Amino acid sequence: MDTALNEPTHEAADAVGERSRRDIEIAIRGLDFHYNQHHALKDIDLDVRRHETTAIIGPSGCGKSTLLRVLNRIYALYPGQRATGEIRFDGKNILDARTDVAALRAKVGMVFQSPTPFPMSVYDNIAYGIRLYEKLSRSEMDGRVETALRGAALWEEVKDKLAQNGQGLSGGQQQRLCIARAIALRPQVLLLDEPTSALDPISTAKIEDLLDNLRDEYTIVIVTHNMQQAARVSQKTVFMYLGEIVETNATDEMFERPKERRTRDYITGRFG
Amino acid sequence: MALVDRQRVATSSAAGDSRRSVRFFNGSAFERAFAGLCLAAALFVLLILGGFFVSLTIGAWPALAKFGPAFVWTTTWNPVTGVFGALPAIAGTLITSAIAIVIAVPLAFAIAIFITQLAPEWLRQPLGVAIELLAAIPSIIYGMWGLFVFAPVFRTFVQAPIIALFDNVPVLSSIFSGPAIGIGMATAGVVLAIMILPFIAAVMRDVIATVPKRLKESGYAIGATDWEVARAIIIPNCAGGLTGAVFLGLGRALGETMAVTFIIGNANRITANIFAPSNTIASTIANEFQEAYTDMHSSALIALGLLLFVITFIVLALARLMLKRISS
Repeated sequence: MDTALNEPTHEAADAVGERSRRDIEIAIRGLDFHYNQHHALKDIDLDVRRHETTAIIGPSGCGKSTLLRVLNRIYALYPGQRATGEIRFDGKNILDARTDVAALRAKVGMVFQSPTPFPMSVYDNIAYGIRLYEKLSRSEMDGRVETALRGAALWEEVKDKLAQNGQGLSGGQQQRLCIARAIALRPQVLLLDEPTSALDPISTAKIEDLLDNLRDEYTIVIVTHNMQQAARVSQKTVFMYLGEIVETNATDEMFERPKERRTRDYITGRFG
Repeated sequence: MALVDRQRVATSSAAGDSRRSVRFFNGSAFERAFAGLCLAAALFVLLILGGFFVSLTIGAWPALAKFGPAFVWTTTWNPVTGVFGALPAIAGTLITSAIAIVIAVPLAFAIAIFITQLAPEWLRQPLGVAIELLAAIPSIIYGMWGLFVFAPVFRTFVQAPIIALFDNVPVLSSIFSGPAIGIGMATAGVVLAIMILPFIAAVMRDVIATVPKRLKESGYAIGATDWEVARAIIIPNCAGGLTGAVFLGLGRALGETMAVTFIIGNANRITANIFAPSNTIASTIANEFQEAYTDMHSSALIALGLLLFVITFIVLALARLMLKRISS
């Protein structure tokens, strides 16, 4: 009798369902991934919430980078890599063969482990991507480049050397340039694959601060080896092991009260 | 049990002995001799290179002394009167090589991009091998094929239509003018292009493979297409190496003798008409060496050889320099 009273009406349940559906940026269902014969991801289910940072942790080879690389279909560059299942984003299954991957990648930006500025000027590193999609006047482009560089907390450091080659910046600046390049396209999602693993502690701190600000505008998925980093920057943490998701939880919860024994062993450093 | 142990001890000590006895030469004397031998072998190469230059210069000296620098820019080549100028051969060499480069470079780049970026995994290896095999075909076969198979086809299906097409167009009518005879500079250039294609493509493939995978991925990650990644990321990132590959091909085209001698037509003249027969430095030497009865004639041929040696040396040195920059 009590339970019946506490149960919400059907309409209310639908409303809640509707709201949470709108909060979900990416919904992954039954995702399997193969590198040739190797079964790298096994039946992954995951909801990535909008304007939240989701951290994926786990030991090397657990499939966390692979999972990230499925989300912008960058894996599809390589023959022999295939994903099956469903990844719902923007109302479509991005694993569908008819997906326009260029359009998808404009909405789902990616930043790699080591900084990868293009062999061109700082300005063009940003403008190049924009030009792929939009024809802008010089002044509009200047504005977009400045906005992107400010968004990546790099403007003050490079505003006087926009014509310099981007590959001549320091490692930390290069990585922020790559973030600026990604956000210049005004994506919905930012994928970060161990973005600070090649950086010194000061540059790392700058990038982590930046990620905190970026969350207001973008949905962020970050793969990291560094558990403190996951705890600092994310609201939700996913622990993966051997191609499976072991546990998904609010970050605070996960680091204080892991439900699974394997999660506890990993975050306390007993393996990995 | 004890027996087994004793045997084991016996074998192990024997192994120890034999290891010691294998080292026949004891100590540093042998090592020094070995290092010296390697050094001598390496110096031998330098000696040969220097020797070539010196002997070519000595052999060319009578002609160089008589005609002076004018040897390079005069056009008469007359063994009967003993007057020799190298310009027609130089021009023929440069024009045929230029044609070859213009045709081969875009093709080679496309092949290299296809193999490194676009081809499915199972096709890459066979394609790479096919290209290397193309490079293994002896040049005399290219020459024969060029003369007997390619030249007639080229005459009928390329030369004749082009000549007709540009008949009344000012400048172009003199660059592509008749009669269509199949052999000539254009034919030689096309065959040279086929010959240098595998070298350029193979080197370009290796150069493109040095572009970091992550850099290419970041191009694709902002939604760039294959062409956009090639244009904006791969080419600028290894421009030096790609140029090096071109110069490597150019070096081969400049010096190629056998195939060109078959199909260039062997006429000592300078003309803007690329369908006309001409000469290259290498084909002139190959054609005339046996009939060079006067000392001045053979000296003039050696002087041509020296010219070619210097030109290709510079081109290949530039190629090495550019390729070295990319690998460091």
